[in-house]
Amino acid sequence: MKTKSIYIALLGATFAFSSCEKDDLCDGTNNQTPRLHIGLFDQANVENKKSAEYLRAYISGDEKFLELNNSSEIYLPLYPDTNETQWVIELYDVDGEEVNLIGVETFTYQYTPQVEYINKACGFKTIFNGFSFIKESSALPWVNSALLTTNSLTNEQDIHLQIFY
Amino acid sequence: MSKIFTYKYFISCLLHLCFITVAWSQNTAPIYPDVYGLRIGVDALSASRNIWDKDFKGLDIQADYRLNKKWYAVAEAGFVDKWKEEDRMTFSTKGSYLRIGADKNLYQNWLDMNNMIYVGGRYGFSLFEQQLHSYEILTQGDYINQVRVNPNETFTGLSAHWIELVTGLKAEVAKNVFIGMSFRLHALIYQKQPESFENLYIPGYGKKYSGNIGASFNYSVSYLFPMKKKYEAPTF
Repeated sequence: MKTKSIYIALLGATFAFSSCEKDDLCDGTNNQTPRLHIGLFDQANVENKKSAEYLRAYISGDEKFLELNNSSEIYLPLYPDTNETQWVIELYDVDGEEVNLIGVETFTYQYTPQVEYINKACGFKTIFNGFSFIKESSALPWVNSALLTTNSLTNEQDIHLQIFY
Repeated sequence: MSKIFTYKYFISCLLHLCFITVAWSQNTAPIYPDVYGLRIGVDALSASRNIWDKDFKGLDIQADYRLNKKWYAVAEAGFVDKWKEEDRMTFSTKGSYLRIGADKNLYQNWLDMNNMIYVGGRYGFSLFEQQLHSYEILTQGDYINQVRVNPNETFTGLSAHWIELVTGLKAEVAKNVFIGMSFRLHALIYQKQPESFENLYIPGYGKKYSGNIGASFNYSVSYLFPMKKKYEAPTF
């Protein structure tokens, strides 16, 4: 009887330990604050994506910039603790070794950030509600029009903003 | 040959004699009483932690009362005020708890010993509040710097219910003074969590993992206030 209960206790302990979960690793890239997902489309044929040879994007006033080569999709991070972020996107023409600036557009993105708890390892993320944008006037325009596909940015799987040029 | 036989005979007789002696002594040995009383102690590990861990304040008082030869009723109560810095957040938990249950002694004491090797169960209940001091918003890429927010938000009215499986031992190291250790497995049954946060630590339960199972270990020091003695024939 005595040995039996001890065995049961040991068995219980083994079982319980095997089901303990490790939770100190944050795995989800999909579970983070979403970036603004922009798709570049052909203004002549709006169904078709159109890759840009070389793009530069930066937040107004910033020295550093993001670069994009031969791609039709851009991911722009937004400030999670304010109500707007202003991004400048520059389009370049590539001619061999040389790159020439052919267009500059400034977009002001406005939103209401909402903090969400993910888990202990990942902490918190922000989603953006009431999302809208203003296309500022440009001296060197390259964008024909832009269209939002959603008003809330909860993940970055699908394109949020379509740019036609 | 005959010499060996003699030896064998002699040893055999000796063994028989031993058995007879043992049997005789069992029948007539003085019966030692079982001491019944209230034993009160503290969790030495959490008590000492007040000294070496500046982020922890707490006390765990344990009491048991012997019901019969093998069973003890147990109650444990305490409070915890704990500050914790994780990678992405800093929080604190403050609250008190009560655990009630029973232990069954599996150890057959010799003579007048009063030790325990036991298994037992507890039901635990805790009322607490959690404060979120600061957190980092997880962003992708390194274009935007990680943002640290300091909301200092307090979530009150949190609670938890759990059960524990306990195995442990208690040894009498001086007259009526016991030291013990126990190993516990916890299974959370129900908890009331904050709406936009999570219970990460529960007083009396400990660190809350992503699952509903936890484990803990503790050392105790206790004193027995003897109340009565019962003479009972030992069972072998």
